[in-house]
Amino acid sequence: MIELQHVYKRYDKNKKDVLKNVSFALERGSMTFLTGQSGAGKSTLLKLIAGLERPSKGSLNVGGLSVGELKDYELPFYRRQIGVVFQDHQLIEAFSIAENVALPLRVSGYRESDIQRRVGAALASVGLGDKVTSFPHELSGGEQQRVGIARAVVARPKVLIADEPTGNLDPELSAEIMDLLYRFSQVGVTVLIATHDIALINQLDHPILHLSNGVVT
Amino acid sequence: MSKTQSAQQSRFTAWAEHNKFCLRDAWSRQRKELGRSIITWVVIGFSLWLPTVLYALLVQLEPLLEQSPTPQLNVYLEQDLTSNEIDQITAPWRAVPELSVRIITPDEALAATERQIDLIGAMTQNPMPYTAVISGPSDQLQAIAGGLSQLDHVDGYQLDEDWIKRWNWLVGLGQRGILFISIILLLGAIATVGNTIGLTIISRKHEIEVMTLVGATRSFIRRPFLYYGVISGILGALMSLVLFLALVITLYSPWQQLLHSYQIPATDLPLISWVFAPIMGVIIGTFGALVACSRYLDKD
Ligand SMILES: Nc1ncnc2c1ncn2[C@@H]1O[C@H](COP(=O)(O)OP(=O)(O)OP(=O)(O)O)[C@@H](O)[C@H]1O
Ligand SMILES: [Mg+2]
Repeated sequence: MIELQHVYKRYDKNKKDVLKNVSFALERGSMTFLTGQSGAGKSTLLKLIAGLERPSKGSLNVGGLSVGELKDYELPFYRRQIGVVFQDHQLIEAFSIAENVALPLRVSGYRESDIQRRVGAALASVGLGDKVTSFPHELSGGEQQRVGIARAVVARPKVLIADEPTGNLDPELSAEIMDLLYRFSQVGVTVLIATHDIALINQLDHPILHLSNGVVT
Repeated sequence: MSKTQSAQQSRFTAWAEHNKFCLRDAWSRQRKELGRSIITWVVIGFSLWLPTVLYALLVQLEPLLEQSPTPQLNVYLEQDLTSNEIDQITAPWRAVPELSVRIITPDEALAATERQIDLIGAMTQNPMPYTAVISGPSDQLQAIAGGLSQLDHVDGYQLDEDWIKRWNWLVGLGQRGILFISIILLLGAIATVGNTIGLTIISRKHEIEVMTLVGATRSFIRRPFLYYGVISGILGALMSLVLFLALVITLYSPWQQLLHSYQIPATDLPLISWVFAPIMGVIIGTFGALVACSRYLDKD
């Protein structure tokens, strides 16, 4: 589903490579953790897969699509096929929970009736079916993170990536979020989660990719 | 990975849907940010109103310009011509319908001059020539003047159109002045719309970022702002039209009387006086939005 071959990433021409010769492959429906020290390049790697940054060198293939070769105008259409969960949830304060979750569908031009139906289903799947009309500031941190997950999965992406989805949560809530993400992998979504919560990773039995100074070890 | 999904509509339906959504959004935003919006309408309205009024004034005064005397060409003929010879020389000019030709005899010319300068009365011989005064369109007079050197019996000529040129320069200056003022006001209005939309973009920065993250295209993100700009332009134009109409209604009868007292015929306002504001309003709104988008959105 996701395949990287000799991928390099460098932000500035004169700076050093943030990712160096990264190669790995993830099966469809797998759930994988990405670990490494701060600055190791975890977020960078996820941004490449999400189509928010481009690899400097090497090939990145997602679902048969050569992501590095997409044209600028094609990238938005690619991004719609990837669900992304952010550490700081990135919810829009002025939008209701339902409107926040609906955003990826609106952007892709879904019919209003489909939007209603899918938003309801997505919020129900993260256990927030009763918060449709609330606003982000009325929710707890864990609930906000679950809204972020609902938004990431509402368009039924084949790939779900999460950057420190439990960074601000206590251990109990963190386990809950991981369990939620795992359930999506069970229905065929390829899940990749960046985290440095070693304790949590050790509790769970999923493959781990370790990044160290931009190199997978 | 599949590129089409069943719940997704065709590109066109989705596009139409989003346009409707943006229209509603832009409209509700005009009301939500009423203070800022009203300032924008007023600036656009005034920028459209002033050129409309000035232009209308110019149109109304146009008959005055047409009343101005036509240019004259004075052709000085030899003194000892018979009236037959004079007829022969002037015949080609008389044949042109746009031209009128009048002959001033030396006696008439002397009489006219003596009234001004007594000195000449002392002269024993009348020094004045026969003069053919031709009036008509200036380009024709110029053509005639150009050919005079080839004619017999012609001593010289004077093309008397300086003051008419000056008058036309003055009119041209007025027209250019209006054009200049209009352009300045237009640019000011575009800058104002751009600034208003720029502020909106800044206040919605996060929203725009998130939309980009979940796959919004460039045009999807720009669309609501374009709509906002166009709606501002239309509302501003409406304001300008209402003010203009009020002016026309209030001043109509005194203005007619004034024109009448100067014997200037009344002129209807041309269509442009009514369509200038709406068309320019839409242009101002669109350009303002484009300026804002390129300044605040496109730099990554
Ligand atoms: N947009 C950018 N422009 C330039 N350099 C960047 C950019 N984003 C990240 N970097 C650099 O790339 C390196 C890796 O950053 P990255 O955010 O991928 O690390 P990370 O593993 O996610 O760290 P953390 O655990 O702290 O989130 C860092 O040295 C960072 O300074
Ligand atoms: Mg990071």
